[in-house]
Amino acid sequence: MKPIHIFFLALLLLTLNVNAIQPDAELKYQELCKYDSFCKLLKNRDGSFIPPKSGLMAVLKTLNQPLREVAKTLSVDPTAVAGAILAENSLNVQVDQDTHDFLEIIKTNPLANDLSKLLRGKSFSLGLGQIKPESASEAETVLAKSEDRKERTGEEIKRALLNPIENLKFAAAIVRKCQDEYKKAGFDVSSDPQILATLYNLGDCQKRATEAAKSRRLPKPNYFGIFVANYKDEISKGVGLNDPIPTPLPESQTPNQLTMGQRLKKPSTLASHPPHCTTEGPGKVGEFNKVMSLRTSDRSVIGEGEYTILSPGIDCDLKDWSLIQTSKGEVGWISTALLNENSEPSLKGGGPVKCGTETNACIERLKQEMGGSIIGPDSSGLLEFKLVPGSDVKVANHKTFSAEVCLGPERPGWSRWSASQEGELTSSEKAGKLAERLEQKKGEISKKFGFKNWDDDRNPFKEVFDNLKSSLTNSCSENCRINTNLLNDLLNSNFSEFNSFKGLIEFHSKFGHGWNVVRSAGKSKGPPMKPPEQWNFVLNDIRKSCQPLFASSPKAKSKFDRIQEVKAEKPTNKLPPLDDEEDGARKVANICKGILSVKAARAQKTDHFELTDDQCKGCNIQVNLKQGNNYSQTQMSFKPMVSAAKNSSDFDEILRNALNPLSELLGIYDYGDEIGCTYDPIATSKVVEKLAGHACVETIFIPDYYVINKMKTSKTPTLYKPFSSDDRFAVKIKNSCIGSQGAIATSSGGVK
Amino acid sequence: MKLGATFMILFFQFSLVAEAQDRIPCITKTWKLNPDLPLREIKSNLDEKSRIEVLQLAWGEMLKEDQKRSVSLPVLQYLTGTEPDSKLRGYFKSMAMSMTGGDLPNKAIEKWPIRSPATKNKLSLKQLCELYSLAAK
Repeated sequence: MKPIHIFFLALLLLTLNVNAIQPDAELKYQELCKYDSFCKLLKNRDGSFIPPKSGLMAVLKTLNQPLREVAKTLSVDPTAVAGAILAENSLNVQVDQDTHDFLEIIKTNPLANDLSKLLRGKSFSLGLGQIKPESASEAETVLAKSEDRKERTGEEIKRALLNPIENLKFAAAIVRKCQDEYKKAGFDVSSDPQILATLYNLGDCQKRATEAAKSRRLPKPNYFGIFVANYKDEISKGVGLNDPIPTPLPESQTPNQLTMGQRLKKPSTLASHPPHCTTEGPGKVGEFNKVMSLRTSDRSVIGEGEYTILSPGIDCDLKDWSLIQTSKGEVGWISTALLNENSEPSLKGGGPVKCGTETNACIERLKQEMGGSIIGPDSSGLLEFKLVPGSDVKVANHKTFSAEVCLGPERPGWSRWSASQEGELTSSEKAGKLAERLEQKKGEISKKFGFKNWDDDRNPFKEVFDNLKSSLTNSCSENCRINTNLLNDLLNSNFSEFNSFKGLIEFHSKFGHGWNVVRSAGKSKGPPMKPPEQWNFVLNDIRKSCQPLFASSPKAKSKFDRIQEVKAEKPTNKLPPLDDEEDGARKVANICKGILSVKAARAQKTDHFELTDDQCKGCNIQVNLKQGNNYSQTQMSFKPMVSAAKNSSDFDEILRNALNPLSELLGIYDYGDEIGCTYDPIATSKVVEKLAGHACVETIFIPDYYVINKMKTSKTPTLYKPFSSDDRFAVKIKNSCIGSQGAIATSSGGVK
Repeated sequence: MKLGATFMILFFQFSLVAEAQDRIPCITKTWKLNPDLPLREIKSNLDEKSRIEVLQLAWGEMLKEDQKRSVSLPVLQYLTGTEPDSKLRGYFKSMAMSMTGGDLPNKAIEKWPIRSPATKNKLSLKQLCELYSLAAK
């Protein structure tokens, strides 16, 4: 046997060992499905059996000693207890703490019942074993008796459920109670973990045992029972129930201070904010946020170990993101889907919590030093500050400044919009290889579509490819994040699909940022600024240059043909207007006019931007923007689009897909609108700089990309965080305790 | 006595004003754009509205008979994802779950514009507002 064969055999054996499931699992499953509709919960969508959660198994292994002790004290099978807990956490869908918090506060309101019905009877369970407080209350009698103490109150029980060791005791007591009830009914189920796990899930053992006594029948195992039966050996081994000596708790864990937490099982990148997309930004002033959606997650850290969620967030596609803080103090954003994938349950804490001791003193100090800008602590423990209000001058608000946020001081030369703000950490070597593959693909496409060369005017793919390649070769150094999935999708795409106008729109929406819009930014003075009185000079020119182009469009041509037909039929008839090419050209010119008027208004009212002239000519729109040495440019050419139009209806698509997004990008919905300023980003950034240097301040959270970028090199992390009020930002005081803590609450399952 | 009564009246008036200010007008707004817009365009549009308007839009869309033409779930997801308060997040999640039969809003919009089966919210506007006020307290 060759070494490679041995390797694969070992790998196979290892895999078999990891997923050690009883050989008759499928038979049991088929049998179960005859009487239990929940049987489907045992399987993944691909038909494989759901195994016990490995992270939770590790937690139970850490709790091996207390688990075995309580099982011994209460004379229950530890496999049944561990199995029921694992089934609860592996099979039942969990709902987070938020819904639990909400239902808790409305529970005394008559509407709570109505809502509870609407939520289809979902109720909430707590802690490691996902135990309902009512079930714990019933089991409390057993526990109090075995521990020779007074019974605890409802609130004390709820608190106790959050401690994993106490929770284990409740789980064991529930198993014991069921065992006793069935014993009274004449059944000894103490050595049948699958029936005990079934009863743990079903609950109400007293009533069930009475019924069983009457019918002289034991309940059949349900999906919990089958899960435990399927994984009995693996559970015993994984939790270490048969180890000769129980493993004691690590010294760092203090039993009565333990809670359940979450940990990152592998190092994960944490960004300074969730990705923001081309259309983000409140008010009609999100324009340059929209124009410039360059990567701004320059400040990223690698997080690992235990963490706490500080805030939820969403990206531009409404996907969930989470702001987390690890136990080592790293703070940053991660997509919630990735966070869930990279997380596993953990035992949290032990030892005294070192927080809060200096918080009040710090708040007092900051109040004195920062004056009236402090709002106060928020519900999560962050200290909120007011953004410095804008002056009465109407200027573009902070969102406008996202143009600069993209231009980090360390970025040399030009950099281009990159494939995505999401993605994997990628080495420069890998980025180079992807760039090579893009080059090869370009050759294939040129050949397939019969382009003279890549720069052929008829090539509608050019800008997207050039941008992606540029982002790989120009901007990517070590540890940059690249959406390799998107790039691979592009490289593996069959470009025949895009050989229609509709297909091209799809191509651009999937891989580009909008048809033929090129955005670039970098450190440069850019072209010289022209005085505003000269800015209108281009308008006639653009209309003139656009008109022939739009007149050559298929729709205009067909309309022209129709006019000729009408003329031939009845020369006196009123002729349909030949307005398509006029419309197209006029719209392009009006957009340019809009850009110019908005920029001119800003130039008069604020010194935040210096404006360069805009080149609206040759049926191209180019918007230049600069502040200091930072320079950005947005360019849009209509020619490739018009030439790619295949039939008359495509003409409308051109206007809809190209002009409208561009006008939206630039925030010019209505040329007459003034742009309001909610606060002054420059003045706010100065306050933030002061706070960043303050001994009490650990992290700054702000909803402003401009400030985040300005603070990129600061030692004090400054991260994005949304606030429900537009007027504030917040800081975390050093050593203060913030964020949601603790227990995992679930809606379904639990002890029923 | 007279002074005390005046003080009481003033206090009462002040309380009323304070309560009125705390309460969000219990009215609905409806989505006027294409209900099948891509999520990023829906988000962009919501970004332009005040928080109160988005909430009233959520109520309006939740109460819409034809949920196939409603943006209730993206709006609830938007509110959930931008809400720092856990109880209010719970309110938005519960509202979505009550309409989808248990799916959270993020799951319900996974395949947007293909919608998860959802029914009009069974609660009245008054009840929706009351529950919100309780969560916001």
